[in-house]
Amino acid sequence: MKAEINLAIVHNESRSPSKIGNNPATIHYPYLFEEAGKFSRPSDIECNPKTMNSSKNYDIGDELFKDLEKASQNLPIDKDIRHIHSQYTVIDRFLSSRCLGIHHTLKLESDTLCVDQCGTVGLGRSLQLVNSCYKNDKAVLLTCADQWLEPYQRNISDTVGYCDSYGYLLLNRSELDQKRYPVIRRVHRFSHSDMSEPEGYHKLFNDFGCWLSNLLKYECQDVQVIIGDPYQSDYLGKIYDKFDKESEVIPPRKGHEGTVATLASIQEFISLKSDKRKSLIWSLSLSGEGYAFVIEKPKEI
Amino acid sequence: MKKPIGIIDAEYFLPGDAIDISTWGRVHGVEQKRIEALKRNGCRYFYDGTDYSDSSLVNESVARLWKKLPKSIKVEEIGLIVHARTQVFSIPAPPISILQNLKNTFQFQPDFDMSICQLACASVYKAMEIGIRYLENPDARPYVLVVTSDRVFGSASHRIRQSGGIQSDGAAAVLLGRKFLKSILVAPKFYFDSRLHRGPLYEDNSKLIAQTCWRDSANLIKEYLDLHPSIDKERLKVLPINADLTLWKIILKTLKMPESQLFSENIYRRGHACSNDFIINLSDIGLANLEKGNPVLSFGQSNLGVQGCLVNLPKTGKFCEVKREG
Repeated sequence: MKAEINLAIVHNESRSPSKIGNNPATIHYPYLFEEAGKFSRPSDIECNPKTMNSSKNYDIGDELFKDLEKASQNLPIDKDIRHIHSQYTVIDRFLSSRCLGIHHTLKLESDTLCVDQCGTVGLGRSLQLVNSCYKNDKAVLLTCADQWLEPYQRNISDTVGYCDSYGYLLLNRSELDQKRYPVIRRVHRFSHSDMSEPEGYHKLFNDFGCWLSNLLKYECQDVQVIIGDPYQSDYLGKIYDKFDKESEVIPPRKGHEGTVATLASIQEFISLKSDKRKSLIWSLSLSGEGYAFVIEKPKEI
Repeated sequence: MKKPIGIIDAEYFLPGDAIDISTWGRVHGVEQKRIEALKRNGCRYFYDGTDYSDSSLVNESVARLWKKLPKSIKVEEIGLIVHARTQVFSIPAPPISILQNLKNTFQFQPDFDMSICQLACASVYKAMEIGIRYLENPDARPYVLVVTSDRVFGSASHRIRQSGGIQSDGAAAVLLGRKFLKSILVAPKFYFDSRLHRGPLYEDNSKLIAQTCWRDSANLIKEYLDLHPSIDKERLKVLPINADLTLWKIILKTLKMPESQLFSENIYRRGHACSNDFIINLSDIGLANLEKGNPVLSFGQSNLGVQGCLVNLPKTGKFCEVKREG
């Protein structure tokens, strides 16, 4: 799947724990998690539901509200903007408060929508939704947030360490803004349906690497910089070993920001001190879904 | 002229046999006074799927739907799958998701899929809106599958909603498209009062929800019907959520509609399976009414300040122009 997007990135923000201050909020597992747990806990984790009262002294959702409220004073966020929130899964907090809270905080007049169980590809899904269903909207606000509790963080740590993060992206379709700001030109989607192989995620990363390599060879030849999700090096090797083209690959960040990772990659490209203007940002979820975003900076940036 | 978008068929799965609140309540220590209050509010039976995961409930409902569909419909023709729910229980551990399990079971390969829930019992109407919008795209594949799942766990205090409803566990599925239609869909309309976003567990909200819910519901239905004046109000059948009979009688009175236009039997027979109620009621009574030429209005109320409604029109008879906001 390939979709022409052409949305200007008017503002992009992504934040990880080091930048988040403390507040008295305590995060708990969703209501009645213990009873539902037999269907929800990772099957390979031994844990006693009674001791699973993981808590943290901040709430990423609240931090996102506060940041957006502050930012909205300076950003061109219209009241009728479409808001789409996405997040990795549902384990970190009762979702309703988060998404409708943003609707309330920004005093939005139009609908708001939240997509969950996205793995790390929330931004790709949000853009697909915009492209398929809301093509006439002039502007869209995409938010992402993930907060991790034990044992999930631990469970996935043999593949990658996830970190708490939130971020948002204000996109605009206007031609003027497309000349002034970096633009998401295109989105390509990858889907790997067979996740049952005993070799774990190696085949997924291998297949994704082949797909990405072909994309660079046949459809995105003019890309100069590649930035992707910060998975551990043996998995990243499965991707980058396939490239036969000289593109600058930016080294992975230290922790994986969940759904916010794509925003962090975009931020990394925008703040890159280089004359390289065209980048390919990739994002792959362990669920088997992946995206590649072609992003272009205007000359004056 | 483009063919209209509508519902091809709908099916649901409520696990086990219907459970009588009178018997169950006594065993689970529910006060007799409360049981009587529930019965006065039209409630009696519900379904308990404690031994089922959300994934298994969804897969069973889709298997049942698939058996009913015209044989010429192929899995590869499903372009979009949207899952909607209210509760957060029993979602598979990441990176697996309910939709991942569904796609693997039935070999669906949609353009994309998503799970939405923050609009609680109104989420399914947002799923329907997304489905309609997807099918309006000329490049879209011909069918959209909308699935819902909801359940509760635990004691009676979680199973019973005040004195107005009993929670049921279950899942449901509906297929949308432009061929083999049993109805024509009118785009849904929503009402947002997001100051209630933290829900009824916050003290101030609970009172406000009780005071405003019925009025906001009546207003939304009125606005929706005003927006689509060609809908035949005299023949309209109203499918509520399967709870709060007293509240629904007030809503119909406010709208100056006779109670006979309200389908309340499933409050008694099925219980409130949250987001599933839309498809359950459509399947039990809605499609039969559409066959008779009656339009059907379905409604979803959440306790987070969001409400959604949608009309299905009979595929024959006066065609209603579908207006959409935004």
